[in-house]
Amino acid sequence: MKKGFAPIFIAGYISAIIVFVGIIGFYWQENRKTPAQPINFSHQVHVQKVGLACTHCHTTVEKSSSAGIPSVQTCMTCHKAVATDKPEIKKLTKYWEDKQPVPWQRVYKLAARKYVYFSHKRHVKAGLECGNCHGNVQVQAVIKQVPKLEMGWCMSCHRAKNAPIDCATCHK
Amino acid sequence: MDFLNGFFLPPSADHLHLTKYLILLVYFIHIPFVSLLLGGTFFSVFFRLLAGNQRESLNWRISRDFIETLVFRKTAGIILGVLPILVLTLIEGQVFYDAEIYVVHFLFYTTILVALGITSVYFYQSTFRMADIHPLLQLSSGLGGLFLLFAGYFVFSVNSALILDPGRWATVTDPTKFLFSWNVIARFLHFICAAFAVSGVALVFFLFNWKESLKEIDASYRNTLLKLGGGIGLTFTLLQPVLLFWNLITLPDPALSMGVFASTIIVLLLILFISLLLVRLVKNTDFKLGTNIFVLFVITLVFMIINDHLAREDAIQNHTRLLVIRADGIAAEIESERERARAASIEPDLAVGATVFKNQCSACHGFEQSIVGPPYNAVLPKYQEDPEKLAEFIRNPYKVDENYPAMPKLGLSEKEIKSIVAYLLQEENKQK
Repeated sequence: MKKGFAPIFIAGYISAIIVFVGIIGFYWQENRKTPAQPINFSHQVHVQKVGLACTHCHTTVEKSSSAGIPSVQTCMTCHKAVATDKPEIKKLTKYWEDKQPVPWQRVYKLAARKYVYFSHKRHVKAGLECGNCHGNVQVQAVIKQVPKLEMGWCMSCHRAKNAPIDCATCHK
Repeated sequence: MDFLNGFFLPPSADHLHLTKYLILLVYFIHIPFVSLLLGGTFFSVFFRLLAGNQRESLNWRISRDFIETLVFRKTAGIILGVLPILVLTLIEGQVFYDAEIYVVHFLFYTTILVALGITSVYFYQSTFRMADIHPLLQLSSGLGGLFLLFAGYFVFSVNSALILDPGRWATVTDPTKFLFSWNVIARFLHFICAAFAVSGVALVFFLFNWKESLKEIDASYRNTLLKLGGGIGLTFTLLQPVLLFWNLITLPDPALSMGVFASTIIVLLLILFISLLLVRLVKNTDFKLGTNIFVLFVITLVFMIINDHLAREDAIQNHTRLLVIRADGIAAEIESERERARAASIEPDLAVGATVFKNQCSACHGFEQSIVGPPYNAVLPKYQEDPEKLAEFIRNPYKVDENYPAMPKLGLSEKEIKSIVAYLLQEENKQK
């Protein structure tokens, strides 16, 4: 190697990686934001502080494939009277009076939603806790998707719990 | 995990805070030592294989210098090698109290593998001081020790990678199921590369700084060692940026934060600086540079450990918060037990009761109408004979009527509970 060439090569190579790390960091920072919700709802307050069970609001989780986003009516059973002076509850009341649903943004998304049939009912009946997939929502002020919900992740649990692993179990 | 939980206490918030620093301390002690142990043994065995059976050859001399210089004496092996992993096992048992993760199991395997590996390496080291040793016994102890150490730190890498991925804690029950995750491989290879690089530089540093006898060694052997140590250092330092990058892009999302990106960039800048110095060391065979590079290497190792720790803290933050809540719950329970013992002497105060009713109860209850909860006129009469039953319900509410949501726990003091019970029953009587 000629004199002077090695340091330049090394500096170029490591600087390139530093730049890549910087770009990825920037990209990650831009993309990590969880979707902005119309109302600052906190699971922490409702589960940890008030002590509500998940099924209190997500009423269809034991009966249907979807857990169900609670209707404005469900919120209003308590919030007609509770914390009515808080700005977030005023927003909720506005939706109620306008007879409009709250446009909640979806947080949990299956990696390949189009091709997968997933049923909450089946998983709850098999004895899974909500937290097995959704993490500890009682400590999350803003809800975040914890696992990536990719096939490998589903499979590892199906294997560990001796659940069926035929393709047709999930891909109908 | 359940039976293991029996050995540990549920940790409190302060306790968890302390464990964070204890873990860092254990890493600072253990990682540099074991890096030298691993690198020293690997290169010693490598040159021992090259030397064949010629005890007077250059390769034999290099092999002996590697194992004698980089692998410290036996007490160090126990204090810096085995003990820290045992301590780490106990600390992690606390940190992951009641989590569905098999950390303690993995660390247990690591401890056994590393303890056996270190023993084997010490035997290998001692064979160089023996006049007559069967070459096969010498080599197999070296190779065996190396294999056990590699296996031990592979399981260790599996464990560290799993901690960073809380979404998989419940499903990964044995290390073999998690073996070929990209992050595990990146982590393991990076650890090995860092260990080899630091060993190459440490050989130069220790030989020329601490070993008085070696100052008398001839110039040609001195230059050979400098070039060799510097060359090994440079090669494995240059591999690190790629592996660091690989590790970063395979980190699970919960482990990422701006701190992790920033500390990765700091580590890369240090590596850049070290590489440029190493090029000068190899070209000019200037052993004084060795000292600077070694110090820089130690700083880089510290930053790598901090980098990894930041990722870990991000990944386990939800679990930690949960433990803190649990600990607070236990503390509150103890406090309320005490208060209940004091409660026998507490007299109800109707004024306090009225305030509690106004501030808390009236949001959901009226005497006549149902708001969120049922009207008092419908539910209070059954408590007139047994006020203590009502107090107990307020302390620990449960769902009674399907038509109403469950009442939340209000966190009232014993005085407030007694007062509100007296106030409500009195008001209820007035209504009649």
